[in-house]
Parts: sequence; structure tokens; C-alpha cells
Amino acid sequence: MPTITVDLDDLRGLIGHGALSEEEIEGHLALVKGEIDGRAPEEGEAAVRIELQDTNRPDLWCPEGIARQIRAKLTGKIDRDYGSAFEAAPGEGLFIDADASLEKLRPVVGGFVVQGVTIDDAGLTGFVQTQEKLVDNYGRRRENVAIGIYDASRIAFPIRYAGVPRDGDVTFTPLGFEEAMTPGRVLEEHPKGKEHAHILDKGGKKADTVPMLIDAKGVVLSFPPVINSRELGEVKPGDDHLFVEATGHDAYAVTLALNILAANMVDRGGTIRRVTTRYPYDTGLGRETVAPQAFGRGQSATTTVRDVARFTGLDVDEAEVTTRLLEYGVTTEAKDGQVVATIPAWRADYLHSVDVVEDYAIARGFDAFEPILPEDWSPGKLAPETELEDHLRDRMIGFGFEEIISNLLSSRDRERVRMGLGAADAGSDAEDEGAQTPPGSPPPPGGQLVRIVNPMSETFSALRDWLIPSLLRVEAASAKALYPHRVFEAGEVAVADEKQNEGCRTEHRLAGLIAHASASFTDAHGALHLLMDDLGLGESYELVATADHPTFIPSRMGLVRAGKGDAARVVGFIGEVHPQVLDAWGIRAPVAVFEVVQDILGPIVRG
Amino acid sequence: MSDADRSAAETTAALSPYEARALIAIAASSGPVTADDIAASSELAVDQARSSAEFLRMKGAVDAPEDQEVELKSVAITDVGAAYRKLGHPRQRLLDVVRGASGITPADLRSKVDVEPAESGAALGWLKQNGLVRVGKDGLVQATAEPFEGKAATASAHLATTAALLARLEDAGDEAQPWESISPEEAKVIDEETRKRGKARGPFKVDTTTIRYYVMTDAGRGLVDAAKGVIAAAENEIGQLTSDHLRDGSWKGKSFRRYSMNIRPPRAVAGRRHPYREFLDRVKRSLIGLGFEQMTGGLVESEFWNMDALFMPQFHPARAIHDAYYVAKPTHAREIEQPYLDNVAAAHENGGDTGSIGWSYDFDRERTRRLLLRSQGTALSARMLSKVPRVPGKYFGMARCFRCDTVDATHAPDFFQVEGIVLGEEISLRHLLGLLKIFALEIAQSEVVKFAPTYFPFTEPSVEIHMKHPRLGWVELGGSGVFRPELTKPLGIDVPVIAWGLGLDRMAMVALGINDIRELFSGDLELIRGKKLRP
Repeated sequence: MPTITVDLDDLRGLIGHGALSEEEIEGHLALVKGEIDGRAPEEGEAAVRIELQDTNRPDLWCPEGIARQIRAKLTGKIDRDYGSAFEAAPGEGLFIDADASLEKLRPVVGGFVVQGVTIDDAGLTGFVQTQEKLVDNYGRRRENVAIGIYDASRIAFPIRYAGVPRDGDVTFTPLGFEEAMTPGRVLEEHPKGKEHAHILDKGGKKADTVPMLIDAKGVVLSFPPVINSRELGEVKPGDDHLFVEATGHDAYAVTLALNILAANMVDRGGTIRRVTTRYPYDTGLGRETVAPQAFGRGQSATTTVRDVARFTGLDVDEAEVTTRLLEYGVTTEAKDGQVVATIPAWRADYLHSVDVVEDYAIARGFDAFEPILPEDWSPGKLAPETELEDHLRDRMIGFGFEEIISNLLSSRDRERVRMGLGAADAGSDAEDEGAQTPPGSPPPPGGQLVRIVNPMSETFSALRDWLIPSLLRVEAASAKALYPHRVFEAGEVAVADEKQNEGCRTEHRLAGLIAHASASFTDAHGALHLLMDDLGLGESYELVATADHPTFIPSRMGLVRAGKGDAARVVGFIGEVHPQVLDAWGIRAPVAVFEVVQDILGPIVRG
Repeated sequence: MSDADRSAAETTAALSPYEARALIAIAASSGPVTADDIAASSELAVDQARSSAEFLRMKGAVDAPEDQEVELKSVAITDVGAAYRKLGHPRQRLLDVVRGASGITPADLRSKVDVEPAESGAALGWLKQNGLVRVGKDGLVQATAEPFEGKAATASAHLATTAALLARLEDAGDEAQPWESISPEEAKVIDEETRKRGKARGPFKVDTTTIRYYVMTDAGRGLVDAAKGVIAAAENEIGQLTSDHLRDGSWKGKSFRRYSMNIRPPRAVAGRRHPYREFLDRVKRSLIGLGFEQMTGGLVESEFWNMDALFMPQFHPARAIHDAYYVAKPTHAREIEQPYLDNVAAAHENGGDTGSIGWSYDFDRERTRRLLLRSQGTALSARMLSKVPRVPGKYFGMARCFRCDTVDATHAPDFFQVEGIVLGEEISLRHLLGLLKIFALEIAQSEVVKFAPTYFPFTEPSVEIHMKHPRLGWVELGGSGVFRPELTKPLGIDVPVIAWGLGLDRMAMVALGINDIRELFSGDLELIRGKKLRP
């Protein structure tokens, strides 16, 4: 969601209808899903930052668009004539001709000429901001849409949208540099070239041919989507005859960007002359396209008065719906309860009839909708795994354990190395092939940690797959806390499991830790026994000795087995932590632990 | 009864037998008395006498003028010192061994004396330095022959003084010796040992105590008779009631010692829920109360359920690698369930049969299988919708979610999202607002709310709710909307579905008095014990 800087005085001028107070403006910002996000004193006394939520409404990312939406509400309609931009005949002799070689490279180009807007410093800054928001957010950093602006009086039409060799005869002086260079050199040496080279050099493969806008006299306008030329691509305050172009991959996206910029220019008092592009290939909008234009797709939708009433919960009629929509700048043709709604050319966000309903609701204002409660009855219910977890938590607390909660993101260092499972020097993404893994269930354990490829730090680079490290984390940080320590955590872990569609299974586990000057296996066994006994398994569970495990003192670790006959399963493990592990955590008190898998315990308990 | 009488009566009532004895002893003396004096003239031990006198002073029955206080320095022997007395000071022990041998290597010497290596090294150094032993060219340690001169004579005397002092102090037992009884040579020994070993591990313990002189106050004099009564009663009084008393009936006819109740008991550790989970439990309880059923799901999700099924176009900015954590291995889920994959692909490309024109782009089916850590709880809702939910129905989830952010005071590595869905034939925008309002009331105890239009790719209309928090002012409680048909239809749902999500982190932090979100997951038990959620 973009945030833009707006000069409130400029915005007031664009809205008209008397100078609105800041509060009034703020109130109207709901119409554009906007919110004042503080002042911007570095940009001037009346400058504020406005945060705009709707990523689908790039027309609102500028003061002109915000003012346009507010004006519609104040006047009840679209109150300006945008005919020169969207309806007038294309400008005579204003052509751009695209080379066939651009079809695979960057196929779409369009533009318009505007007269009657004198660009001053502030206007230029404003235009640059609008252009940046469009190309960065909507145009995905020039990948999908790039925009250029020029002094039209120095350009000789028709313009050629040419595919030129990367390092051939065609050279130009880029903005910010003093000497003429080939586009290839611009990509290597110019800051903008380096920044945007990847758009042309797909997959690291250098493009042999690059796009270039060249006027009828052979002078270079620009090297889209990278940089304008100094010869023709520099706009100075005082220029009042401008050429605006946009290039990209999708004819609709490029045209929408031009529609928005043209509407803005009209709002600033300009008159548009539309430019025709001629292609030797099809663009989705034909081989000959005019910009700006209302292109239809995403610009109208059909709903019914009944649907508006149903979705909003209000009793409405046709007149109410059409009047409100017009207040939002939406024109309608309504007949027999059917409403065909059309939005202006600077929008293209009507994907579905529900979008019309939202426009109606916003125009009406959410305050007009009296909240009511759903009357349907439904039973409140916890998930079975939560029921069990809450039961176990309750018991652990009754046994005198203090609950802790940990982040699920951990690291190989914490989950493996410090636990005595895997070499310290093997690196954070070591796979520990063949190394011992946490004891667990069902054996053999899954083995690998679920690692992430793009961690922000090594500390949080993998999901935990057992709880003991989380508990040791607490013991390590609590040497000064009054002893004895009896802590537990009930929570999720992710255990690698090739059998699962997602490559791992999320388990709910519960683990307890006891630490004090003489904590022992028996302490942990005592707590585990209380828990198993509470679950009705006190008679039947058994501790099964296993091969020595590096996390635990030899012979003081066992698997917990519960259930009857064939249904018997390993539900967890218990043990006295090896001093080497305690050393690795910097723990100076003996520690005994147990851990059980709730998801395995559940079915056994429920029988 | 006058106020003064009443207060005197209360004081009497609270007099313990020890205090009563001390009071009578002080009253019987002709002038100011010390705790030692009190102990001597009563049946109390010195420490009992001292604490009783202090309690009496707090109760105003006696006074201890500050200008009459005397600082008393004394010295006593420690366990280490007692061991020295028995075995000899390490220096002496080394010296004795050297003297008993006609030349001994330092290693042999050390092995014959049971002293820590560091200590025996220092002791040997001291003996050499002071000329009591010397090391020959053959490397053997030899004792210096008497008579001693200079340093050796002083050192020899020092050892003798040490031994005598240890003996004198140990013979005195627990009783500390007044500093006045210590000779200057002995003082030198004590200072050196204390400096060398530290107060805790040295052979001597030097204490400074303040001796107070207690005198009766008028209030105290008024209590003497009562104190006598307390003593008389105490003869026939039970302190700790025991099973024996009950078994043999010996408690009968006796009274019970009056306890002073305002002494804090020793600190104990109790089992308790983690305060953050307690907060989340409350929210859970509220949602159950509102008729919501809980949904759960996995931590690792495919892009399909995390994003595609939510009608987030694959070119959406939030889908960039910079926002979600991607799984290293395996990188892709094996498959995406049908018919949902086909349906969702069609919805993105051209709307399919949802009545939409779709996002109009080439949907990448390979990408749908890419695995990531769940970045939004809405993934649970999407999966729920595909599982033939109850209509009408209400569902909620509390899902741990992961986003690619640098961890700081406002960003935890993972966090809880609480959200859910409401399905029903007649669901409208007004129901959505009603639901949000009741969340504000039930979950955040706020009656003042305002609604604003907002944008989510998967809802239309979309509403955010702000509520007036008693302490924070206006805060955003959450976002909500009606799921787009492009989301619901491909998953087989034909009724309107409200989706909602609540931002609870900030409220939890306020409730727990926390300014740094990382503290919610702190490993410091004392910090956790200090965080209390008010009922």
C-alpha cells in the first residue's frame, strides 16, 4: 500500500468547493481508503503523508485522483470534461511506430501530448511522485510499466519505438551523464542502468536488442525502461507542451497508467492530444491503439438492485443505487432492477459485480449501515487437539509447573549442535545426514529440520522439531530465578516427514523440565507419572530403554510407551540431560525432562 | 475504653512471651541495658533478647537513643579456621614436612600436604620469601637452620602468633572475641588472612555490631503488669499445635500463643499459565462464547493455500520472496488438491465460473506447490471452506504466522493471528459491522467503534474497525470483509462468507505492561513471574 505526500493547499485547490478544513478532508479520505499518516514538514508546512490501502486503485495514489473522488461526492457526479483525453479524435500526425523486434522484448508503448499545463517546480515534483508510485507499485519497479515525460515542442513525430543493438551505432547521452554512450554501456555504468538492467537481461542472459524511442529526426528520446536522453528527455520548469509515454508488457496496464496521468493533466487545466501507436503485431488491444482510452476490460460490471440490497442489508431502490454510484463517479444504465455500472477510464478494478456493491457502500458511507448481529445459531467449540492441550496444561499447572511460550523459529545450533546432535562446524544448513536426531515418535525420527531459504538471521532459520531446546533456553536465561524450576511448554513443532504432502507434519507436543541443585530422573518421572495417571494410563505405560542418546546421560533416557496391545505406541521420551549439553547452554543446575506428542497420546487416551 | 487504653490493650495482646520477658528484664534494671544484659537477667538467648527488644522498640514500649549506640568490633573463628587449628596453617604444615625431610622436591612436598595446589604454591612462596626454607641447586627444598634473623625471625613469630590466635579463638567457641582483646601482632595476622582469602573463605570472621542501650518508655511501664500476665499464660500456652497434642489431648486447658500476622511468608514458586497464553485463552473463550468453532492447520503451507486460494494474484507485491519465509527442502508440495487447483487457476486467469473477469494473467501452476511458512491465518479459512463447513457456521483460528521481518521491539520472529469466517445465506455488510462491534465489546471491552473502508485482495467490501481503547485511544482492532466470490466459489461455497482478523499483539502488550514484543516470548522466568494479567 503506497504512502504519498500531499500538500493540503494543493489538494484544497484541486477539490474546490470552498477551502475544506483539514478535518473535513480527513473525513472524506474514507472515500479513497486513505488515512493521514502524519505531517511531512520537510516537504512544506501544509504537507501531509497519506496512506492509501487499495493496491487496485493506482488512480488514487496522487492528489489529483484523491481530489477527483472527493469532488464526485461533493457534486454528485463527474464534474469535469475529460473528453479531450478519452473521446476526442486522435491527434493528427501523432504516431508511434513499433519495430517488430520489440514483440518479444517489451511490446507495448503508448503516449499522449498535453498542452496548457505549465510545469513549475512544485508541479514537476508532484508529477515525479505520481510517476514513481505508478512505476514502483503498479508497474513493479518499471518491470511492467515505465513512464517518461518530455518537452514535446522539440520532438518530431512520428516517433519510432525501435529495437536497437545493445552496443551498435545508436548512442545517446543519458540524464546525469556528459557523454554519448551505447545502451549497453548505460546498463553497465549508469546507476539507473545497473538498477534496471535485470528487466531487459532476463534470467541473467544479456539482451542483444534493447528498446529505444527515437524521433523522426533520429534523435533519441529515451532508453525505456531505464533512462531518458539529455537531448530530448529533460523537462524544465516553464515547459507547457509535454509528451508523456509509457512502455511495458501489458497493453491494458500501460494504457491505464497513461489514462491516470492524462486525467491528472486535465485536472491541472491541460488539454490532451491522443497519440496512436502502430504495431506490426497484436497487443491485446489491437495493432493500432490510441492512448489514453477507455478500454472496457475491468471498467464495467453488471449487478442488480436486489443484490445490492442483499449484500448491504439495506432496503434500496434503483434510484438510490444509481444516485449513490454516480456520487462515486460511476455511471449506470439501469433497467428493471438490472444495473450496468461503468467506471471512468482511469480505473480498471471492476472484476466482479461485488466491486460495484462496495463502491455503492463507500459512497453511502459505512456510518449509514446500522450494525446487526447474525441470527443464525452455531455451537462454539474448541478443536479436539486444543481440548487435549488445555487439559494437559491445566494438569501441569496443578503439578506446580510454570508455563512458558517460545518462538517456533529456531536454529540448527539450538535444535541440534547444543543438544549434542551434529557437529558445530558443519554450518547452519548442514543436513546432518546419518547423525542422531531428537528422540521422538514414531521412531525413527524424521531427521532433518524444516529450514528456510531466506532467513533474516541464523538465530531464526529453522522450525523447531522438539520442545526440549525451548525449555533449556528458559533454564539458561533463568539461573538467577528462584529455584526449584519446574517449567513446561505445550505447543507446535514441525517434524520433517517425507510421507506428508508438505514434507513435514505439524505436531502438538508437551514437555516439562525440572531443574534444581539435585534434580534427577526421578523428578521428571514423578511428574510424567502424575500426568499419565491422570490420563488413565498410570498402570499401563512403560519406559523403554534405548541405545544411549547424546542428549542424555547414558542409561538415564527412555522412550515412553503407552496403549494396549497392537495399539501401543511410543508417545514420548524422558531423561536426565547430559552435562555436556548443559555446558553448551551454560546451565549450572542438573536438568531432567520429558516430552510427549499430544497427537499420539490423544487417540490412546480417548480409546 | 479510651483510645490510649485500647491501643495499650492491643499492644499487650500482641506481646509475645519473649517480648514480655524482655520487657520485664528491662523494667527491672536500674539503667539502660544491652541485649546481653537482657539475656543475662532473663531466660532468653542473646539473639532472642535482641529481636524481642527490637520488636518492643517498634511497638513503642522501649526506646534506644541513637546517641548511646556503640559500635562493637569482634573476631571469631570460621570453619576454615577450625580446620587450620586442627591440621595447622598451610604454611606451618609445609614447613613441618620440609623440616622432617632432608631435602624434598616441590612436587613431593605438595603431595605430602593436603592443600589446594594454588594455596600450597603461595604458602611455599611465602616461606621462601621470608627465608624459612630455601631451594638448593639440586632443586630440593631445605629448611633454614635456627636461629632466625631478620625476616625469618619475624615470619617465624608470625606463624606462632597465628597458631596461638587460632587456638584462643577456637577455645572461645561461638563467642566472638572483642577487638580490644586482640594484640597488634594478632591484628596483623587477621588483616593479612582476610585480605588474602576474602571474608568468606578466610579463617577469621570479623564482625561489627551495633550495641543498643534500651530504656523503658511510659507506654512500656504501663505494660509491665500485662507482660507478667503474658508470661504466666505462656507457661500454659501452645505455639505450634502438633499431632501429639491432638492425640493425647494435652492441648486441653491450654491457651494458644498469639501470632503476629503481618510477617511476610517465605517466597514460594507456584504453577501458573504463561500470561500471554492466558491472554490468548481469554480471547479463545470469548470466541467460543460467541459460537465460533476452532480451526487448526499446519505450520508449513503451499503457496496455493496461503495465497492462490485467497485470490491473491501471483504478481501481488505481498507475494514477493521478501515477505514470506520459503522452505529449503522439500521446496514443493507433492500435489495440490483437485478440483480446487483447476478452479482457482481459472478464477485467476479469467474468473472461471465465478462471475468475475479474473486477474487476466498466465497462472503458474508450478508455483502453487512452493512451500513456505504460513504467513497469514487466512490460510486456515481457505482450507476450512474446502472441507464442506457448516452453513450457517462460524469458525475461528489462532495461528502462529511467520513474516520476513528483522526482529525488533515491534516484530517477533513469529506471532499469533486470530481470525475466522462466518458463513450464512443472509450475511450482509450490516452483519459484518455487527460482528466487528461485538468483537470490540467482548474481546477488547470497548463500546466505541468506527468503521472505515479498506482493501484486501480477497474481500469486497473490506472494512477495518477502530475502537476507543480506555488507555490507548483510537486503535485498529482488525480488518474484515466479505470474501470475494472468486475465493469462495472455487472452493465449493455458494453463500456469502464474512472473513475477519484481529490484531491482538498490541492489546496483549498493554495488558501485560510490555513495550517490546520480544518480551512476550522471554526466557527469563523472573520476568515471566512478574507479568500479571488482571482478571
